[in-house]
Amino acid sequence: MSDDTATAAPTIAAPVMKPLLLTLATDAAAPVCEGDSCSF
Amino acid sequence: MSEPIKIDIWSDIACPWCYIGKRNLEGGIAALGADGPDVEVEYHSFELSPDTPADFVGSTTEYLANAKGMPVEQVEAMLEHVTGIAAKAGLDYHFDEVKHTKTLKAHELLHFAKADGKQLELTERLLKAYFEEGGYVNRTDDLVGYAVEVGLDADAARAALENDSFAADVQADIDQARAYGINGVPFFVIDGKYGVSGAQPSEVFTQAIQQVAGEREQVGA
Repeated sequence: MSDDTATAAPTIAAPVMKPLLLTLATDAAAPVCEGDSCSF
Repeated sequence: MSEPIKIDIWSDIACPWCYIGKRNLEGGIAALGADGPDVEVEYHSFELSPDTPADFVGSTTEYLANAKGMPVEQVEAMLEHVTGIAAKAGLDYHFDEVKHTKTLKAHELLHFAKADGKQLELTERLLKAYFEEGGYVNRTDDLVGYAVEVGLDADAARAALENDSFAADVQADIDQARAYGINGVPFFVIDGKYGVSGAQPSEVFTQAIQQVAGEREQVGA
């Protein structure tokens, strides 16, 4: 007997995160840190 | 009376530009003057270097030199440059004393503080401890001490840290940052729609806040 649950479509939880809708207030670059790297 | 303009900030304690950006934002808000729009600031967790060992012993210079394979002299020169910019923002960085460490527990404590209305105070305290005082922002005893300094309950703070009570809140912040497409910090989200990336000058924050205030007036007119 096959296991139907193995191929069943996964239930996708409703997204709770706000989508990307940001407009950058300025295009000017400013120093940031990303991971171990910071703009120095 | 209208709702305050909300500024959500993604930031890490171990981020030199985050402390500088904080000062610049504060300057930008102050420049709005007493008659300027009300502003509400909320910090959100961003762990820049989650792979940093919690028990790492060493300075930022040693960590960066090892992680990047850069000569110590080059790392020191970079840090000296940041120290100079920090000084212009009124901050007294001492990278030679910084206790480089994982910041997850500090973020959990910041969420604990947020629940008690003390997040801004604790953010300032932890950044100052890390960059100016060579403080440990990962050890429970030290974190509890900082919590008490800003008026939080010691036992409750310790319990929150030991029980990972706010770990899910930290992760939610990190997930939200990802959803916004934020890869680096500091990152400021003004009124949920305008993004400001990096330690921008104070004037940029002033202008962005004024723009939002102006748009609100137009909508309300």
